[in-house]
Amino acid sequence: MTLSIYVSHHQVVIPGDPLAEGGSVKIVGKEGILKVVEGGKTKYIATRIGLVNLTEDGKLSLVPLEGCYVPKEGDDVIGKIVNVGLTTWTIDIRGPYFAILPLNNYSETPPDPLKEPITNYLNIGDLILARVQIYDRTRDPILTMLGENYQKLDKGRLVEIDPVKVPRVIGKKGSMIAMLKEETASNIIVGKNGRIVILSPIIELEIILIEAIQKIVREAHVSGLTDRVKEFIRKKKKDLGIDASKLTPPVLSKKKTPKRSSRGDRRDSRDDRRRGGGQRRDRHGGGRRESRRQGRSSSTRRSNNRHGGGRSREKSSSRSQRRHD
Amino acid sequence: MSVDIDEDPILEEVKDSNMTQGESEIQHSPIGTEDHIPVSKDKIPLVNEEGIRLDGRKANELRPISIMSGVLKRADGSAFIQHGNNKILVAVHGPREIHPKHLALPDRAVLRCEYRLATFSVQERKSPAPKRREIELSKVITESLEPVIFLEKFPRGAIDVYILVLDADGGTRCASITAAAVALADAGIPMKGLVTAVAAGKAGGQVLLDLSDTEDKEGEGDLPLAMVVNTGEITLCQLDGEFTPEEVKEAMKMAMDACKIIYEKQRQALIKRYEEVKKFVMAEGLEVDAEALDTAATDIMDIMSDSETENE
Repeated sequence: MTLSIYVSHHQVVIPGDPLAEGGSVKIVGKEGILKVVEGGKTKYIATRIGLVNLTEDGKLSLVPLEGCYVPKEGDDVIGKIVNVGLTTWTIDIRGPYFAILPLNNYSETPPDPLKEPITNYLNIGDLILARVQIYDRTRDPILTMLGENYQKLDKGRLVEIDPVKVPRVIGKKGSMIAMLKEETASNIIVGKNGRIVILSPIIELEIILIEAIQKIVREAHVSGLTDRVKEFIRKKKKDLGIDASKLTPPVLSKKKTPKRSSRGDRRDSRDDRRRGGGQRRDRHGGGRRESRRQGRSSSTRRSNNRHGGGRSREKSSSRSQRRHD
Repeated sequence: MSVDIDEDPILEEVKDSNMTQGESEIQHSPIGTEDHIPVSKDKIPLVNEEGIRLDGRKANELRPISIMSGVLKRADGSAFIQHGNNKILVAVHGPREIHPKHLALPDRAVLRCEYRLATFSVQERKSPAPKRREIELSKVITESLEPVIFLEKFPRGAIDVYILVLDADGGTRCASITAAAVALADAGIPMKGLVTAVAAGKAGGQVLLDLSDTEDKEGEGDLPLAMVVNTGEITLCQLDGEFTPEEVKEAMKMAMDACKIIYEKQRQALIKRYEEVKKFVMAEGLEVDAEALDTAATDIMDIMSDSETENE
């Protein structure tokens, strides 16, 4: 079988451009490449604007230069709250679909919508750092904020760039981002969806950093990027007479989580909710422990008795039990 | 009223017009009105004896075309085309959430094109409300672009294409398709290829390429054609007016050949932006030795392809 590659290394291609022909071409990654089999011949065609990456051992791949963010499981993204439901937040992650953040994915001890409005934690317009937990063709992406790093971004400045250029801002093994952080004494949070939040100690450095990021985006397809950006920042700093080494980067405020009882764990707080009251927790704490040992159904009954066993209490507890099951 | 063939008023009129066509009588509009200059459409042929058209073109000559991509900041992809006197701006948004939700398809995205004429784009003010013609052209353009886009990659989503004609001078639907294809590619939407469109037609008894407004209105018919140049597939072929089978063949061939020329312009529009940055950076003359540059390049490419494969 004949092998022929029609493109050269670092060539910019557009949709429809033939890349290669023949079955023995090694194609790395399916992004932006279409395989066409016509009359026994295999052809590879570009489907997006991209940069050809051709290694010496004949591996061909395409790096897209434009495109929206397509969610992938495990990606860290910066989302903007667009809607608050009873137990979920709807979040814009700049993708084809809005993402969902369920209450239970907010923190280990999730806020209780029965006790307080969940807007106390996240409200419309807030920015958050979250991870894509589940995403497939049939469902909208579900986010999670469980974990130490995932929190509300309440400080800093938001810079939006093309999502396909995020890897360039990060650089090889994080070389670019490390350089940016060091040179500007800033804290930089990068979402895979092309949103970047920067926290700089002074406004001048913030502006330099934004300009540097814009430079990276603009020249993403030209070689020698890291050195060029480094030189650019140093020159700017010198012009303004800033010494970044003595400045410390600002940090985000701590993640706001619901108060938990002194001996409570996640399970306990759920039990509390079933009982429908936070104040009773302390008074009947001991009894609850005892009842839990005896299995769920008896625990419900017993606790009702303890609370005085009125009709209304029984009703509410059986309802919440059903929900739990 | 009884119909007598000999005295049929319509037939009479036709006879009259046939007679006047041969004669060279110049009709004067009353002096004082805007067009008091002597005008006779019959007098100025759409194509003269040397085969030159009203605007000085030959029969198979295109109007000058220039395309720019990425002209709008807010849109995901955009393009601006100047096709002769046509000026058209296209913005692409998407793939994105569809509204209203009930339009969503479970297995693929919906492509929605909106063709609009600006109020000042035509001779007399056009009412800004979408009219029959705009709705029809929106549909036609949607259907000509749909076959090349991988809509199945974005189930339940929508891709919106907004086409605004700023200045119209015949052949706007074709110019719109050409520009929309560039804007879609600029938005990074996966496509089989670019769609290119141009109209051929018949005016002054000749088959002509890329009709202007006058030729379109005064001529005998037109044939807009859109095709995917790399594969040779035709995604739009309309025809109105009267053509002989030979003329249809000739017009189609003319349009298909012209598409190849326009395709090159589309291609340049997309690539130019990146090449320009490249040139600009090179011109800065940084003191980095070529070897270091090369390794840095491969480093970047590695990390990019790494992240790509990781994501797979």
